[in-house]
Amino acid sequence: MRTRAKATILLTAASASLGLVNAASADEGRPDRNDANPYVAGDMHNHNTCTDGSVSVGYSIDRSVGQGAAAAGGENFDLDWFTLGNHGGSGNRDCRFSDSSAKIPGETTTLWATTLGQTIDGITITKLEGTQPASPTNMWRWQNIQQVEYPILVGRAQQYRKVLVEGLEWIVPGHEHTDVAVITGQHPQRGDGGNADNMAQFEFRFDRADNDAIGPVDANNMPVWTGKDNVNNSGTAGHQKAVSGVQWLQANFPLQSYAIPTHTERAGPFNPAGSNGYNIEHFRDFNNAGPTVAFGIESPGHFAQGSINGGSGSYTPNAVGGGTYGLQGIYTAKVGGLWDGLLGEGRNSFIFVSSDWHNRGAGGARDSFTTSDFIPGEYTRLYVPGQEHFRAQSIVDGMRSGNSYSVNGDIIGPDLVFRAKGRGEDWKGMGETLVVRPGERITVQMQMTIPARNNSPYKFNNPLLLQDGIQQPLNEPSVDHVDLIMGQVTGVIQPGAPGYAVPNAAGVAGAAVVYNPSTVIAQQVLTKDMKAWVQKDGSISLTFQTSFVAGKTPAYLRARGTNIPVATPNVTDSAGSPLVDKNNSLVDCADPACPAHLDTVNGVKKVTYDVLAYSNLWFYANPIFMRPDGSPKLLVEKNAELAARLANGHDHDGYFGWNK
Amino acid sequence: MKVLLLACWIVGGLAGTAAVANDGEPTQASCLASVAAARELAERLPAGDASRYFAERDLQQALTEAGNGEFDDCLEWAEQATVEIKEHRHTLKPGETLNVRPAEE
Repeated sequence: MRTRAKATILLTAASASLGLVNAASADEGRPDRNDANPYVAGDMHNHNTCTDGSVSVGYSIDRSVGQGAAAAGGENFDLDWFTLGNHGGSGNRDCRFSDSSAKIPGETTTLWATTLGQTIDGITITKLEGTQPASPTNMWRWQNIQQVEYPILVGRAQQYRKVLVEGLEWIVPGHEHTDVAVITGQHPQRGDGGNADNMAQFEFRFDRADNDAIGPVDANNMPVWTGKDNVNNSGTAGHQKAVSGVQWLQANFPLQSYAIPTHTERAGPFNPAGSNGYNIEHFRDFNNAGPTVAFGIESPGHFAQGSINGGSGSYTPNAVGGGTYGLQGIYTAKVGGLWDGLLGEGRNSFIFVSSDWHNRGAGGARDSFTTSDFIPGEYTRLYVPGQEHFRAQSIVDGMRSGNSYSVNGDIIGPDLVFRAKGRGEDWKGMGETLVVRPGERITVQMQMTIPARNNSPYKFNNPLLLQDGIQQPLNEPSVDHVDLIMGQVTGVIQPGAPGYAVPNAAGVAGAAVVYNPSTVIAQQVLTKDMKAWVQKDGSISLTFQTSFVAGKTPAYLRARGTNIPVATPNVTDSAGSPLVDKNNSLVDCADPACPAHLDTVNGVKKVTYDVLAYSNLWFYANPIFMRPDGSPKLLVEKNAELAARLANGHDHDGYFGWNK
Repeated sequence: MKVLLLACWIVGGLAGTAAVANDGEPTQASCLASVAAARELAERLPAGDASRYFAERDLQQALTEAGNGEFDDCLEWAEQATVEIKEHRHTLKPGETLNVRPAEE
């Protein structure tokens, strides 16, 4: 057996790239830190009993942003910011209460039908509004957003002095789901609290599960939000309605909203006669319709659902790719996959992560184990740049800029530095574009910290790493290597042009589709070849510096890191890319401390559920773009300039925030 | 291990109640039928059986989805419960228990 090396040798693997050729060189010194731009962690996709979650709105916020031990048991996860991202449509449960299944003392499933007219938590709901059948039991989500979730959020924002946002998991016409937030009007920090009317209006107008034909009414009982399309909710016509929704965001809230498709492989390829997944042309359509609001992809969530039949991320074998890969969908996990196809156009397409918290499966909300989802902040953290007056606008600006990264299982902390420069000292970071001369040497730096502990309740050794002879406790994250992934940028493909729409496939066949064949792992930097410092708290700071030689064509450089070595049986291939995660469950969990909830085969416990999630850790950093001096600007630059023009003189609603 | 007794609260989706809607989408009726079939399978297992417990948790989530009109998700959870029972994926060794904290604690 060997233990994970903590070497202090700096260096770089040298290999060739495409647009940027050659490589080499190292720097023995620790580079200057860019401490002016620390990151803050959040979650934008999660559920409560307003839709299909298991806990109340308040409990969900408390566990996510509170500190220390929760009052009724369990740990809080101290996120810096939090966006409620519940489904559209309707719900029959009063979400001031948790579900009985959550096993929280004093909490029982409560329906709206039984609490109308009662004042609970300072909120009185007198009627279920909008179109109602003969026996109404459900509250439309637009009403819920305005009258229930947002008022609770205001109270919690003032209690915790953290940035809380009312968002939505949009049930998209013609597709599955997309994270949306419209922050305009939301001022939970101010005395009047503001409102979430714009968020509610989007939900009413464009959610395919919301077929209410009335919406809120004025003093004369006339609908306030007129002109809703309640017909075109599926297939190709549904997609066009979805594009209209993105256009509506772009036209009305170009800097104060976002639309990020989520678990995008789960429902399979796009179905022109139904409501399923997304093909690459749909991401392109969204980005074309909303260049400053539709700028990315979110990874699956539901990270503890992996059983012996697969299912991590809630992906069935019919998902595009047939499952998750290193807890990512195939669109983002594959080198040369769909995400690389978008980046190969120079699009502002960035990736994000959230929990998709609903419940803990076999466990109750207070239990340490989960066979379904993690609480926001427990396992996934989406990092965006922090700032002195951090506010809702900061979240949207940070996401739109691309200066963000996604972390599972606290494999790294909040201080990632990933940047590049040419001969000068003008460093460019994630989401930015470096302009260089062909032949110029490009220096790339990465710095990160591996926390001493994560939130794993398990201290036994990682069963996946034991296959490689590595003893590494599950609650002590580690990094084996970082991949620097590079692809060529060949320009924007126009709608209708060859290659704009690409045939897709359900199941593992979908994993074979290559969207950007120029993409390669340009360098693979082993942790043992990085410079390392063990900090007083037991965390480990890592840094490396490498270089490339600029070529004659534009390119991008993105990064990912993992605790799993190359060619680990049942986990990674010979290049270090993740295999479909169902394979992880072929590995025994043989330690006497392996928990009772794991799937068994012939009485032998397998690496499944939360043990799988904590065994197979990855982080993803968004790309840095590069192009030759004098070449046309990339779309990512043009869209950033569009955002800057829109911001010029714009009165940023939602300005007020808490001082950090 | 304690057996979860499912709360059989009424589901009240706002969508249609025919077995299959005109557009071929799952309905409340098809969802409830699938849940009932899976529950019948689960109840054939002993009350303390671990796979029965997991299946009943899945059926709880199926009913939650139905309550929000998400009948496709309801069917998926009902199917997961059925697979859990048929494959009997969870077994507890003698003396082993699931670390589930009861609501009254």
